[in-house]
Amino acid sequence: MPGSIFNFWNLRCSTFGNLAFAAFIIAVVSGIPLSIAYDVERASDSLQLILLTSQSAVFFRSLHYWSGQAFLLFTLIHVIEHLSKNSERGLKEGLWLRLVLALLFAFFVMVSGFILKADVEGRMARQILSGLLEIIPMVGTELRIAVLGNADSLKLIYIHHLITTTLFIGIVIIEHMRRAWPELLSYVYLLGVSAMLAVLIPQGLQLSGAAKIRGPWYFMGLQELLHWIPNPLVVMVLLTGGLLIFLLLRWMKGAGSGWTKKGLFVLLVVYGVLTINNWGFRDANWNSLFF
Amino acid sequence: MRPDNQALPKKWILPALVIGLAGLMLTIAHFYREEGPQPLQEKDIPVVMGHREGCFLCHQEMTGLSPSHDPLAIGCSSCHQGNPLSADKEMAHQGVVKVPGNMETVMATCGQSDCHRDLAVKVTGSLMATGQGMVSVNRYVFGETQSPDGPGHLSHLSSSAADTHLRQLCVTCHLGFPKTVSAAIDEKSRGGGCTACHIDYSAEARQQMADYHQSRELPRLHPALNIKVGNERCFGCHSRSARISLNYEGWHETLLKPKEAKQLEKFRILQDRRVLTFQGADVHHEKGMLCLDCHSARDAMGDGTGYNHQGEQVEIACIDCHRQDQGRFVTYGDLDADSIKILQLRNVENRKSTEYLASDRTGRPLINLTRGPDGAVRFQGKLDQQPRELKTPAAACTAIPEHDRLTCQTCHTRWAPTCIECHTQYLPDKQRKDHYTGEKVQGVWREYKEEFLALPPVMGVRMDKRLKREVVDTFIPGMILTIGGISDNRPDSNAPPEKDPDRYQVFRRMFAPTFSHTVQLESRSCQSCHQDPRVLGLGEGRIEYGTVTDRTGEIPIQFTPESRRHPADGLPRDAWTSFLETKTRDTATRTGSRPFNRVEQQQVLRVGQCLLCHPPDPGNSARIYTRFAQALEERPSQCLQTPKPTQ
Amino acid sequence: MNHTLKPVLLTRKSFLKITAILLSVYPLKLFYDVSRTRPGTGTQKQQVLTMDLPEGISFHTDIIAWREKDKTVFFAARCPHLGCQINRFENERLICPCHGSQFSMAGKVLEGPAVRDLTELSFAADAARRQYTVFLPN
Repeated sequence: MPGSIFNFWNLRCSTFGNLAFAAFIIAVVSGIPLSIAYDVERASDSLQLILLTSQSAVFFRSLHYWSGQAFLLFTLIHVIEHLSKNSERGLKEGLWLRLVLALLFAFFVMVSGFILKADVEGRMARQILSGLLEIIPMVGTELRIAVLGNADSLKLIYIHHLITTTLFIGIVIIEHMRRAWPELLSYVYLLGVSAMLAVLIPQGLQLSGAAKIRGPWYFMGLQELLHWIPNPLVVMVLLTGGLLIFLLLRWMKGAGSGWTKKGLFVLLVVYGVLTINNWGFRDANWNSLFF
Repeated sequence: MRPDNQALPKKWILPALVIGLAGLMLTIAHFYREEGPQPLQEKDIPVVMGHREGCFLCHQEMTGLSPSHDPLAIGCSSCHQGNPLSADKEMAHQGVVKVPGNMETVMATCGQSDCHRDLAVKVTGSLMATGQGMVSVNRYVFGETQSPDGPGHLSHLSSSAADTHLRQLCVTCHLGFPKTVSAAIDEKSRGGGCTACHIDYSAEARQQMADYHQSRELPRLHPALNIKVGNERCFGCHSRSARISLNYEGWHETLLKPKEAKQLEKFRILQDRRVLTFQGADVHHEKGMLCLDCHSARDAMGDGTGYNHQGEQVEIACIDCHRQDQGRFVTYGDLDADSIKILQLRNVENRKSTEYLASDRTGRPLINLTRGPDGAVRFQGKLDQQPRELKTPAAACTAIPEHDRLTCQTCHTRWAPTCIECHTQYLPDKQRKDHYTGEKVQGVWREYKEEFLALPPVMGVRMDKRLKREVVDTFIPGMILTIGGISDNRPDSNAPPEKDPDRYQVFRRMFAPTFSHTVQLESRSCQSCHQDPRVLGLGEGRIEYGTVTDRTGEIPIQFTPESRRHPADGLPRDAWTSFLETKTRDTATRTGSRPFNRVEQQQVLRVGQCLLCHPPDPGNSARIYTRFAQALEERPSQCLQTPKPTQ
Repeated sequence: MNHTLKPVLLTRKSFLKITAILLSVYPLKLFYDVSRTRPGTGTQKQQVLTMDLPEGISFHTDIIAWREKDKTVFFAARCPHLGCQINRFENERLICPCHGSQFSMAGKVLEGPAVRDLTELSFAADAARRQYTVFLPN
């Protein structure tokens, strides 16, 4: 049944892969004017001035944000679609590895953008990510330094967000799609929707520590996990395990592959439930209506 | 599988066109929006509390606030919320809070963790915010609960008969009632959270606000937030119910209309058109003291405990100033942070070398009762900083052992507002505003008052929770009323559409302990209690003493009431209790409060018989009244009968 | 001619591949060196606070102060779970906004996910200037 929905969508509209690629390009291009105005040495202040002094910068920032969210969302749907069709078996091994890495980088490019806001939420996200990396045995601190850099500077995160991850993701997408450009229709959809959202729901900054701080939507489930499981290393092990299983899908066959995929999908649904609980049923002090 | 020669279905172009066009149009609209002041530079937007405060683009040079509330120190958005990071007026004002002090927003504004968090928590739990006693007693009176104590909150009312009654008639008098208009506090101000007491519009600020309503020119003068809480800030709410604000200044509310007021010698008409006559002010008011001078911050704002009734929350007592002993004192270093802050703000001289009197009831410091290095105890007005002499109680206050249960106000109350009879009825055909929801509702509670007089208060007995013993205190009618229009604890939509005092479901005759705030320097006369049946709770009437044959017998006393009897219970309409009977059930709006019982009535009236012949001069006081039990034993035979007619 | 493929240990192709990978480690190491934290200067960080602190709990960026009558205690505002700054206080509990760990006013952990108590900070009192100097961990 899901296959027929995907097919319908792909025939009438644009494929999710195209949409994700279009979103990626719009995010990159809309990020260029932002990178001119943004000053990583005084990140929060430069963003605040941007918001106050330039209508076009407000627009491009929101466009950058919404196209970025669309990129992640469509990428995830694209992955689910193609895993349900066992398309991964047709990919070269090296490409599959690079794609998995690119997916990981995609999450990082998103959260690095969140951190670069340098507001209360951004600082919290950085602290949590830093803490999670540090607890990895043996390589934790080095990994944290390589990913996040100096504790009092956003420079390295900025470089990763602008260049390292973006380049890698871009190259892998092109290698994967075997074209340098998504189809025109996907641009029209993405630009239209992102522009509408950018105008109707512009992005600001979270200045107050009193308001409920949620973090990015794709990590709310992770936040719930971290709330429930006292030892964050256990969470890291679970995440790494999940990633490894996902990686190994390329080499699984037959019933094993089918059950693993179903299992991963169930985990995704559970993650979704945790996300909804965090988003809708917890107050600023983590008191919950249900559990 | 589709055969190869069948073409693929066409992609939908129309949705793409619609979405694309919509996006384009919105983008163009965005860029052609009216922008804020241009061109903007960094220096136009100051950094306040770590972020750029865009509010200053339009609201420059706002003065009027103290240094700790200066917009350049804390910004505008820290109190008024909104979006300080937008130059677009509409976006900047999204989520803006016009009156930050309102209870509904206070924890995010005045009560933020960096600001007045503890105070905001205390105030939201205090009686001025919850009105717990108002709700619990009202429900008790309506017969919906069995006791005047109990939970209740004026922001959480149901649709029972009692609660709808409150919603229409009383609910605006609590801090949770929101202030919606930016205006100075006046006689009709109610609610507003912190701003109910702490907002201060100077004349200039009022003018600028008036100009703004006319010409939309933005005011440059912000009303001050201060602790100069004068009596006018208490007036709006406390000129209702027990009328303390009115009583204190000597004004008694009549049932007259404004045009009838001209007949009165000295009168005052309030903004809400109530007519007041002058009956005599409290001696403390005559000395220039304000509500604030007695009532500490803890009295008004609460101390964190959720009290049920007003008398439990109040900390101040007469004996704190009018001491009979040395008192306990607290050094400056031992003061709590709030007291230190208040002394600093008021710039009280020599505050660090002064000691502060500890309240008799709670042991907490009263910051305007001090002892200097010279050892002298002084009282100082909180706003005018003027000293006032502290008088110790006269010897007469403690001379009579049988008076040891009396509170100060029992003898020293000049008058209290006394209402005799009323009828409250639900009229299903009328409409009025329900202040709880702010909307018009069908079905109205209306009160029909009979008499509202200024009389010396009635006496009764109250259980003092702090002292843990009974005291004799002043009481006024809580209500002598009938309530009609109730069916099954709900307003009866089939009730008669017009006033019908003979048809009622509830009758209540309950008195309430009160401190009427009409203190007088001279004590009331002995006769005014011991010979006045009304003061004993019997109602106006005539007391007659009979004769006995020996000292051990009780002198027979007869009481003939003057007022007509109330059909509901047969008691005189202005009475509280029955003559020489003990009434304990449903007599008062507080548990532990009651009228005099049979024995107490006899004891009081017995003294009245002696007073017929032996006025309370110093000689008689020494011989009889300060040693009454022995004097009774020594009575000559002529005391056993009453020689002349009673008054 | 018969061209049989001799079994070899390492083809030219795989040798080049391995060398390329090994060589790329060096630029990665350089990259790492560039992004490394500069070592700490060794001086302890400290913060000066007034002695007239409000009663109960108050927040001062990296420090939480608890004053009860004449006793004052300072804690690091860093949550022992993942290091977030604790800045919420409700119902007599300190709450971390990141994952909801709760601590008593005395710094004891009450609810997870944190498992350790708050770090108590040492301080020096200056009665003449009526201020505290609180020493923060590195």
